[in-house]
Amino acid sequence: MAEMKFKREPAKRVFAAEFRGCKFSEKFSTDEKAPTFILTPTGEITARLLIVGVATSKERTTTKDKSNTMYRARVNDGTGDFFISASSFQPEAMMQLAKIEVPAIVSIVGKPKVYNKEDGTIFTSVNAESVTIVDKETREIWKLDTAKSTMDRISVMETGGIKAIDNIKEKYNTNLDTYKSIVNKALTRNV
Amino acid sequence: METKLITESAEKIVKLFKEKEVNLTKKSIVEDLTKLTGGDLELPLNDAVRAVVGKYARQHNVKIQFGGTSSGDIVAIKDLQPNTWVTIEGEIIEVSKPKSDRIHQMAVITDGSGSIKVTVWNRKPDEPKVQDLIPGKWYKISNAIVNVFKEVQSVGIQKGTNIAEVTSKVKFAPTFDDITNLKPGIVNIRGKVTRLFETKSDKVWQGGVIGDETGSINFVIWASSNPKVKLEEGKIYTSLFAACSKFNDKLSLSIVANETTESEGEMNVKTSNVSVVGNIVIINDGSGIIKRCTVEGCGRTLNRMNYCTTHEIQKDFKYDMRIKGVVDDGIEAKYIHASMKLTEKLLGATMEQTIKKSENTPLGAEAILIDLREKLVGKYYHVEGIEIDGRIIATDIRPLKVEDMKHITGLDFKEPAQTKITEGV
Repeated sequence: MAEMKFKREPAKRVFAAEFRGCKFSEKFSTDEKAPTFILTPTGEITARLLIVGVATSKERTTTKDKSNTMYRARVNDGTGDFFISASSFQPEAMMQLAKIEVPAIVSIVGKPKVYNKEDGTIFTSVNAESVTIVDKETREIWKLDTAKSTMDRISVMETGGIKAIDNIKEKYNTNLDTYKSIVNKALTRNV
Repeated sequence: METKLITESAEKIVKLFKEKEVNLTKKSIVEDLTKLTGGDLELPLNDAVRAVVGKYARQHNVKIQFGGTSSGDIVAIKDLQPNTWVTIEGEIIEVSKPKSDRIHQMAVITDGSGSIKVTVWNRKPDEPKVQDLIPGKWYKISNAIVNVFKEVQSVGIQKGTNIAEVTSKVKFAPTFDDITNLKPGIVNIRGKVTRLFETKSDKVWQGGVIGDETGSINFVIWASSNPKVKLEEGKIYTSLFAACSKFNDKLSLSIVANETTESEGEMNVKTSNVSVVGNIVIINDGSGIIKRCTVEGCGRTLNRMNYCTTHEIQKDFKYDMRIKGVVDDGIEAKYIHASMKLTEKLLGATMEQTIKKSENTPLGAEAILIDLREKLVGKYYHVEGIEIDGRIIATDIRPLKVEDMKHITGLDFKEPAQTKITEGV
């Protein structure tokens, strides 16, 4: 019954090439446990992502304070790499990632994070909640799904008139042609 | 309009005080009322009248039992307006002793047009003693106020309210409310129980979903109402004087078991069929193979120790399979629930095979949950089912094909542009 009390945040579809350009995040509530939403250049506002791609590398490492083990992985979706991490806070995802042998097509549900590094650069990663091995078919469906979502966002931003989206466009100084070509790249088969 | 109402109220007040041999001038009362209702104060007229009556009563040291501006005409219960002073007449259906000692009695009264809760407030020792309402008897309640709390109307019996027993009227045939049009309050419904939930608390006798041709609503029967019968899935019932209330923006029905009777006939419950294409992003704990309590009418899930939250440790149990999860289309995350048959299909194993597997592995039921997650999570499915307050009870779940997604998105993959390569050459 508990799950009925709050609304689960949906997992949005964003290509790696767009996600890597994310710089801003926002909390819409002062509640400590409220989710942090990231703002993407095409105007997605999200606290959860669904990613399907090829896990190309994984490593077992420790958290910064060296107190806990964690796993890191790179997942390529055809437009770029997602940086995935799973620590003991996500035991399920950590176990699943530990089991996977790269390369493999994986489906990942996780929470997007934007970090400001000490040297001033901005780094994005995804804290995995679940990692499962999927087939080529799922990857193709995800690409179509994500392409459609991205195109929908592009067209909303092009039309304008929604304040929140207009603000994001201004923040990023979004060049929509960049994202149209990302969609194009994602939908073009490799030879 | 406003001034006419004020004049009328002022006349009533003058009359009221005349009965106590106090003479007031209409003009000064009109002035008082105008002041209170107009300008920055903007008091509702009824409240202004009460304030003015109180003021002069104190001034002239008289006691005036004044309940507002009820005209004395009997109002049909269905026509009651919030925050008005009214007179109603009807039969008392049930009476309960409330938890609060400020309240003397809580009751439900009905007049055929509708039903409403009655709250009889306790009175101070120096105030006229309040009459006990007795179920089955008819009363005329004059000068009571219609209160609204959490969108539920009730009739409040104040110190100025008169209760008089009247002769019984003819028993009316109850009128039923369409489930889709239910509003908070006391309602009569006729519907089919489409689903019974596992009850998780001792306080709940039964919980489930009841529907009619117009819609469905969640219901609960509280154990504290001393119910004797259990409702069954698929049967039609008429349920009188159920309390409809709103919690977290969601309506639900508290059914009085003793006012619920099985009804003959057929009924096609209106269901909201939904079809979602999305990714199963999570399968919750409690999915896979589960054990249920075999105590008559219980069916609660048992934990690993075969412990039922109501019937404690059970020797016997019944296996069942289910999936509780979330399908996410990128816009909304929807909770889904799949029964045994669908779970067998998606897992690719029959119940018997699954039981065998769970009994022969050290992980037990968890092994099945892991299997399910590995098979389903992260993949796209087409889910069809019935939506009941935000949760989809799946009737079918099937894997989505690339071709389906091409059709849905109107997009397709492109071959690499050969022309560009030739240009480059």
